[in-house]
Amino acid sequence: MKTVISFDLYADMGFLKKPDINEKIYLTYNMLHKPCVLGILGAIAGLKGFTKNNEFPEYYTKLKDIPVGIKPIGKGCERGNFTKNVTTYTNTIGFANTDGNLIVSEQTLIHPAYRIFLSLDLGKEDEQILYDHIRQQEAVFIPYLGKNDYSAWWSKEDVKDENDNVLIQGVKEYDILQDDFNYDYKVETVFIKQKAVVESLVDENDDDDFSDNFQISDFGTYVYFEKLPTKYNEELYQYDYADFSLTDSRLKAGSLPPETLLHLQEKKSKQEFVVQLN
Amino acid sequence: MIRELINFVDDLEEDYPEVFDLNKIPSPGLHLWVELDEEGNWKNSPPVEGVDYVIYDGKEKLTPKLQEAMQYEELGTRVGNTMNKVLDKKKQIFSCSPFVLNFKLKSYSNDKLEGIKEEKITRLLKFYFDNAIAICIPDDTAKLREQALAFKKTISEALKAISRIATTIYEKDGPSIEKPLIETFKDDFYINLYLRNVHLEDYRACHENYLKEKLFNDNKYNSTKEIDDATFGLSNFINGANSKKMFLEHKTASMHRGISGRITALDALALNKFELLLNSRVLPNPILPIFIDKNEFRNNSEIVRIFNNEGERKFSYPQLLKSIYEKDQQRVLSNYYLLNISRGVVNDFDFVSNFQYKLDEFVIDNLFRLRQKGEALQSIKLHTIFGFENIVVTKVFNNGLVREKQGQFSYNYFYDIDPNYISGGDEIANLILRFRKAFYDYIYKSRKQAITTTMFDEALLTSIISDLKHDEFKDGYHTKETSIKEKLNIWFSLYNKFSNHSKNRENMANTFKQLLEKAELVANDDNTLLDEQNVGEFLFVAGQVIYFLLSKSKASNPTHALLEPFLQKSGAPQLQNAIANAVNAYKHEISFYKDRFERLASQVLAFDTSENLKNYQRYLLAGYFAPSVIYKSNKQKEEQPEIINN
Repeated sequence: MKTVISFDLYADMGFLKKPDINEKIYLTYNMLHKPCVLGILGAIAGLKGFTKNNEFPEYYTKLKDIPVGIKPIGKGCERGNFTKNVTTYTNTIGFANTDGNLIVSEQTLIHPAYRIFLSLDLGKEDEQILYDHIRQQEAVFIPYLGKNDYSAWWSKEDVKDENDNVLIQGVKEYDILQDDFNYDYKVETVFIKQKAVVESLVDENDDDDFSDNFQISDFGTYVYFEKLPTKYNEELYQYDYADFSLTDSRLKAGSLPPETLLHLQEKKSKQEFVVQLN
Repeated sequence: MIRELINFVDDLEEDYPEVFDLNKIPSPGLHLWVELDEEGNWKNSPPVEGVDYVIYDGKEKLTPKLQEAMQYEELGTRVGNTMNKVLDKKKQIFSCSPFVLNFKLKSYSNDKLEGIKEEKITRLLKFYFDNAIAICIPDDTAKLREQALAFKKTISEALKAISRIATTIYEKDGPSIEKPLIETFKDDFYINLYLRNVHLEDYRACHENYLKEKLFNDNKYNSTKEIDDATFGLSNFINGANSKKMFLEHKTASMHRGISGRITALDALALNKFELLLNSRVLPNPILPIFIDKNEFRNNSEIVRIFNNEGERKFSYPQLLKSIYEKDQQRVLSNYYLLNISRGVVNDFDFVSNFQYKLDEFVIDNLFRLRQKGEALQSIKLHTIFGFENIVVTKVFNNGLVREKQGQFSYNYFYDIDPNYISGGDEIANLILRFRKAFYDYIYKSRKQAITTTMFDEALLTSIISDLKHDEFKDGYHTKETSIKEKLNIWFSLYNKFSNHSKNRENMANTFKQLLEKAELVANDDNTLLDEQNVGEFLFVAGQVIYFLLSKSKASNPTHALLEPFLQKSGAPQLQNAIANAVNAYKHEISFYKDRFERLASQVLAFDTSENLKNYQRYLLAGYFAPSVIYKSNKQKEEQPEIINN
């Protein structure tokens, strides 16, 4: 049986290392990405991590086919983007290096938080375990955002402030509604763009003259872009990438492959929205 | 990051290919072409100036001969800025081609290696040429190998000939002197030798072979033995595999032959081009906007084009944006990555969703009535975010974060801060270190949440208290009074402009005016009382009273630092005690204004509140530095101590 659940994963800080550069500074991805989510799910389910070269870890081989959707949330998120600070570590004891001090600077995410959507097949043992653990707010190993200094948390129930505003959404379960997506829709999660997003945005001011000088900001509030890992390359054991976007604008019908989209309805609140799971 | 940079270079190549030829100059020094006869002997010896050699001083306009030299030199340049990728194992020879020899005069004349001058360079040649021939010349081109070897043999002779080249020096008001040319060169001038017999196309082919071989950090990680465009290897762009620092290696991955990330040779080539563009200063530096994808509206080349159209006078990033917005008022800059890179070090790389250049209703009122040459200063309207940076940030951090010198601005968002060079010392240096990233994000990335009201309050309060501590009274002037009042003007005028609670936050500029009116009423009317619930009113009036008392001080250095003990009081009784003590100390001086003073002082001393006064320090400061209502009442008779700009 298939089901879709979501939970809000958050941490005080995060560091999702980009393997681009390693001199003087390491940079971080802004958005959580699927290979990273799979590692976190592996920790929750109690599956083994990296042990050998040229061999994928247990968690990856068992969980890689789970469709995942990610939405950035929380007080640190501004138009999909989190505040980043550079943290510099100095190690002078000599165990970390053989030629002098080790100085590492890391671009660090401040208050990263993401709503993670998972489509789980409860007929599979590992996915059933994962489903149970997430709903019970339990993890076999400590999940973290990028490095174990930054423990990640989630809550099974909604966490509210004194005014009853939901700060952290608890674990939610969804019904999948039949939909052929032949209308303009808004996607809640980051999605893989197939073409220039600007060509897909719905012009909310249809009466206006459509000029060549328009800007993305004419349509919605923002569009966010990031090239993110989607999986591991099975030959080189490194990330394969895709161009992701996030926007609060509506997209024209047919902008994204319908098979990657899900029209979800939250079981309790009956709230409906569209996500893309990859 | 590197994928965005690769796209950036690709876009430039397509839309603005000329950029790769901009700002190119030959290296300063001597450029000499060696021509060989059929037996491999040096044919054009002794060389003739303007025909066989040319001298470049690094400044003069490029002649056709210098441009030719530049072409040759370029086809022998090394990868990157360091000497890690050169072909000479002693790292003295810069060139990387079997037909070019290029070294600095410093290498020629210093005593770091064995031998001196020609002898020293000649000793390096065997390894250099063996390496260059092996890497650059394909096995099936015997003729090129022979030419390279013949060139190598001639070099010793050519270097001797160079040392014999003389030049005439014209000394000011003295006789002209003949001197060896080399002795007139600076240490960082280069000596370049090129082999004229080889066609430029062969130079290019050989250099491409070198590039392919050296573009990756280390070829042992390559996916294929023969390197072609699709070969994957370890990126050399701000990246390395330093085996001595194992913690720099990416360990939590399934590594394939030792590493977990590779890029293609084609990508490595694009990154090398990006580095060359940075070196030739044709890109805005250190801040460079990189638009994701030219299909998403923006063309990277536009920014680079504007930057380079300014000729020698390169725009800073704020000037660049000003130029763009002046051309098109409605312009929207959105969806780009902002790269901050200097001297090969990435300081920051982040996404900018929508850059907000213009500011709405950012006006700094002259609430504290600052004067210049007797005239009250006007309110300052901040039209753009860079106006905010140049005026507000400069003043708040005492010229330590954004430095203004003779109308020119310099910025220190990422480098070391030396408290010795900052007014306010360690206190302000720490303040800069804590908040500069937030101000950078707010200004350059339009992250409106970056500066919170709490941060803004703390920055201003700390900066003002630091000024109070460092205030001196010299020649009748308070050295920090203007600075403090400028900061108070900024603080109160922009009080509710930042994130967190800004909608509910009071308008401090209006509050200030109301408090001043209320203080005046209380001072002049026995029946007007302070609002019992309004701690702000109490502290504002207390500030007025303290100012009046301290102005009576006859100390030799009556600085504003005397206010600091009053600011440190957290409870009303402690503050009232301190004021009472001050009244006691200065009672002999209080006579003229006693009605006004007594009214204010009696209400201050009788005010009852359990609030922590440290949360309201701004009101005390405001009352202290606001125009005195006590003096004002008798201004016709007695001049209020003047506000003097330092």
